[in-house]
Amino acid sequence: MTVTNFTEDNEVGLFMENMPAQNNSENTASDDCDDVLSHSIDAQHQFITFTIGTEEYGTPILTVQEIRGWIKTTPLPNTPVFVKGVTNLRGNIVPIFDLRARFSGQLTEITERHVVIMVEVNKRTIGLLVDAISDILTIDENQIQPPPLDNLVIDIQYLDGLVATDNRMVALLNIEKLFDNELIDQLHNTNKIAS
Amino acid sequence: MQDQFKNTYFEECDDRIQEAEEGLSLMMEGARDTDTINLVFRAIHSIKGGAGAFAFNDVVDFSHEFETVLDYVREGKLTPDRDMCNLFLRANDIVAEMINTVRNNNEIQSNFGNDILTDLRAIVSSLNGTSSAQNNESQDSQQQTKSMCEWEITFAPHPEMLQTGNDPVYLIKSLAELGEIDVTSNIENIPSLDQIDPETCYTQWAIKLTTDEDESEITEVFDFVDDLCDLNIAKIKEINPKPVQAAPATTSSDQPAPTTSGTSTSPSENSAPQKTVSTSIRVDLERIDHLVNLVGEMVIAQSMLQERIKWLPMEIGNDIGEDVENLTRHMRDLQESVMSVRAQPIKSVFSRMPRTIREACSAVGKDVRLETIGEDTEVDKTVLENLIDPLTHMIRNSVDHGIEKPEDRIAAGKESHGTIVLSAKHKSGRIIIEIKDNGKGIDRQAVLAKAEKQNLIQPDANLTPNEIDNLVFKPGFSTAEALSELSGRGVGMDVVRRNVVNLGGRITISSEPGQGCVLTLSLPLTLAVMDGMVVSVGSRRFVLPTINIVESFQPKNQAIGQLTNDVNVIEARGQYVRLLPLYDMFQINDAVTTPEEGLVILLETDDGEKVAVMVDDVLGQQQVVIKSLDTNYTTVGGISAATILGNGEVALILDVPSLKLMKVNINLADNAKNAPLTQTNAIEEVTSIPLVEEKELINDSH
Repeated sequence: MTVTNFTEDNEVGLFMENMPAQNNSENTASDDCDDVLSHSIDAQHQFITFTIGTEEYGTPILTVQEIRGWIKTTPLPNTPVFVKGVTNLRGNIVPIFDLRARFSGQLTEITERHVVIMVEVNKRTIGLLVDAISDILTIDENQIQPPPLDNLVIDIQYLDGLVATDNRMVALLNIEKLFDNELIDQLHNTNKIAS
Repeated sequence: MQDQFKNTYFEECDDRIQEAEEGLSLMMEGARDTDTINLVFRAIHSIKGGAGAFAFNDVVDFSHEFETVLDYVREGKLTPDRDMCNLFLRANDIVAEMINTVRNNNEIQSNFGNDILTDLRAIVSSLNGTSSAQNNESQDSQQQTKSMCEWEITFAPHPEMLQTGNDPVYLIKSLAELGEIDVTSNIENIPSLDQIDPETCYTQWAIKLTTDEDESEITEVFDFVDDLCDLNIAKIKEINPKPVQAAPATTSSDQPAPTTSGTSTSPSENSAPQKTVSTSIRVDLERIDHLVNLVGEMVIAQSMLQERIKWLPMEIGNDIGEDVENLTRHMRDLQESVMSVRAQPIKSVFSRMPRTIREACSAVGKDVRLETIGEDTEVDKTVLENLIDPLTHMIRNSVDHGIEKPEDRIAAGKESHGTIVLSAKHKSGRIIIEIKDNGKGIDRQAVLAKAEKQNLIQPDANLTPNEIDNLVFKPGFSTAEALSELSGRGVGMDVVRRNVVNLGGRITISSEPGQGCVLTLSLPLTLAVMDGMVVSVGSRRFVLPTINIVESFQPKNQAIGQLTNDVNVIEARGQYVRLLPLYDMFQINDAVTTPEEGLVILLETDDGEKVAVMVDDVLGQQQVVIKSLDTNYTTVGGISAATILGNGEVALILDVPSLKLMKVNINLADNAKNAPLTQTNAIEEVTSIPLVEEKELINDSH
């Protein structure tokens, strides 16, 4: 029990640290953070949004364990380019995926300003390398629209839907699909082929 | 809450059943001392008690019969022979099976264990047919002569009663089964909400009971909480007495007295040893693992701190350095203590083996005795759990293939029963387990013939006797001519070997024809920590398991050769072995590219095959915490796990057998010939990396 509380606090703390200064919705964000703690039911409708290039994506706040600045990874042999390697997250070995490379095959040129979102998917913890964190949004289910057929960097099979908010569009990621058993098998097989 | 009590009860049952089994095994070997018999009796008795509290009536009924027989043994009225001990063991199995059934929320079949029950009853009636008949008679007459009485019971549980898994509600409910009850709770002692400890019992009860049962029935309800509560039972008045049968009623109520006194004294006997062992507590394994993880984190954080201090100016650094030294010492102590919490005596595994042997013996009609040595040797719990299967398999194998049938043994001039000696000891940071039998040993002719038939060896191979013996570990090898029920299910010694290797261990066999054979297992004390050699390749670090390392040397370029199809080889001790350039396999571009500038480490896999890896430098040997890659990722070829070094970086632990399978694109011999002089830069770069401090880390992989 105490562990969960700890991560929750930590999550928020880290999140605040990583909030870009230029974010004009900072107040709402911290209010939202308080909401996470006080009304956990609301948290189910909350999304953390982040950018890859010019596009903005969202993932449910409850899947996010913490957000970190870019940390050096240890590369793994015989892995697809989007696997940046593994890193030490408080004693756990966590793989880091380059989301841009995962979807478009184009590698992110990593700088110190890049951010890694630690998410829990199918009982695994993985890190997603993105350009920047932008916001926390509370989204009603009826606001979510089906994804369009093209025009996105990302393959639509990884999307749950689109949300238009404050004159911008946020694509909601289906985080489960990002690292599902199919991919695990695929990774496993690449290893086998290579060996 | 109630589930929690049930779980506590089930866990306790596991221990009790094991205790009973150990005790019964001793009795089977001829132990007749009261301690052993009492141990078994108490175990069954407490299982029965708990089962009563949770209304597992089948368990209560069966264990009651079992207990009755054991009681006769305890009183010395019955001396069990081997057959009877066997019956007891089977009865114990029935109890275990019943507990398992109710644990899984299944119904116990109504006739389950009936044959054993009949046998147990037969013992009771044969032993004192007359007295038990009398007992029955008197009980019958008692039935007729019961009179309604009103009782007043004050029941004041001790505060800690709930912690033992006893629930007052059940007790009161079982009282209600005896007759009409009127319960008044005394809630004076309940403190205000903020002071309540949920595991403390604050309530007391005053119960008015109207029943036709006699006092012994009432006391029996409280049998198991005897020493956990203040109990006062008083008869207030008799309602509608039956004057005609009054006289027999008094005499007959005396009759069952011996049995009731038997049961009522047992809880107090029961409680005495329980109090002495209460110095230990039951802790969820998950909590310990969490603790182990945290300490592992602290060790890493601490070593990071140490590395930072090196860069401080002397005048500040020195003082802080001393403090950190102190901290390091404490950390090491802390780490050792935490690891020792996970360690358990190997007894828990060894104690399963007598059963394995018994079952194996009865299946193949052999007589085998087991001796165990070093049962108190402590090993990490995870290792222990993973040892059960291989050990069971090896023991079965020894009984099935090693030990001869009694008549053959006599013909060979040996005792009719075989002996298997199971021993464990610590040796240089590892645990050594030996399984030694005095059977016929390995039939090398048969093994050779079989291996040739299975194409496991070349027909003209010239093998030493020891090499022949070790052929049994080859996959697909099984000498059992006819598939016996025991072994030969397609699971052979190669599976055992694989299990052992997966634990980071090794297994060897040696045999003396006609004298028996010895299987020797060498295992790490824990799966959490491993001895590793940290090597550098360019700016990357890797860990090689120390157990695989034969030697490291600086080769001459001439020693490098290449076979066709891109296989590099190196001459080591007059033998050509495959040379694996790690920098090429892991695509590291700031590393040394010629063997002469770097180091070659000769490795030996568990099946004795040799392979060499090329690295830049050896940074030192240290214990590393093993962290699985599977937890958050998937398995990666060439890598068995990862670890975290003192600088917080992740280093990969190389898996020697699968390393050989990785693709190599480089011709090292060519590299060596064309080596430009500027390559020395790479070496300087490497040596400028601060060396990893040698330190012990804890591991957490499960």
